[in-house]
Amino acid sequence: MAASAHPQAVQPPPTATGLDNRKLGMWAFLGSECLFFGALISTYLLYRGRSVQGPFPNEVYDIPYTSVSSGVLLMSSVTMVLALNAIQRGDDRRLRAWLLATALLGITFVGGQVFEFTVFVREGLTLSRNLFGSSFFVLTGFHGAHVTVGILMLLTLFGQSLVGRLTVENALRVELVGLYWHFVDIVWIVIFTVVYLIP
Amino acid sequence: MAATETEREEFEPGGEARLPEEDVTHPGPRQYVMVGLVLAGITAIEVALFYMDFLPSPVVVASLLILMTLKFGLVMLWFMHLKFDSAIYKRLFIAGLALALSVFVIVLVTFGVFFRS
Repeated sequence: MAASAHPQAVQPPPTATGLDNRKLGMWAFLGSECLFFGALISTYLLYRGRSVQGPFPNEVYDIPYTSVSSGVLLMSSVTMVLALNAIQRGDDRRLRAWLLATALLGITFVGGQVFEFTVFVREGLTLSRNLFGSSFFVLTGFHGAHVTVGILMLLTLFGQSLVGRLTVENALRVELVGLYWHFVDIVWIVIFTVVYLIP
Repeated sequence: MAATETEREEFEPGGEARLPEEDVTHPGPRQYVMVGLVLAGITAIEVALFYMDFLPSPVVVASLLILMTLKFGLVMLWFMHLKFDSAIYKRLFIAGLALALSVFVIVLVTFGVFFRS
């Protein structure tokens, strides 16, 4: 009975590596995402300082605002890892609380990004205005889209937990979403430094 | 030693449900919060560096890149558990990261991004 309640407990997954293929697949996907975001960040660097008309980065960036936004996303990684810790201990109540907190922090971050984009557009910076606008909006927009997908996955997990379909036996689901979420966070760590802070 | 006791206490109830390669050494909530605070601290230092106009630009850039790498590593090793999980995951991710870094550094050097006046 105990063995059927915790099927992963007794034996490793029957795969050639002894590892779960879903987790292996997620890591392979994240490895490929490095190339995706690498291309976007490189494009931004390539076009940096080559715009012939404004607005230019130093005219539109609001560093204190973006710093708070970055802090919010960083803290969402802490709540995410606490959610994983909760489900591994079979603590459903804390799992739901941390999942919801992570989703709310993610929503705050995306909301902040939408506000930032709105301000930039009001100041005349659009996707087609200059090279800076094109590379900036594509890079940060794709990152924001990734965060939005992460929020949807978190809310799905939250819903599954509410109806009792997310228990300690399928903690791997939370771990996989967590890996994706942390990846989105480390991409922002790079964007924040390379795009916003480096003069 | 105290950490081992904490880990045992925190993980034993659900411990039998874990995969074999993920055993025993995962940190607990306290360690995660500590890592989070360190990350917040590093971010604060980064922002402070941005405003230190009196420092030479190369020093600021180098410091920011070092701090960024530190944050990247902390999240990857602790929150994504690469410090504790199977080495295969680490190799898979590092392969993608190394490929991306080498390809794009070559592209940027080719276009003279690092040496532009």
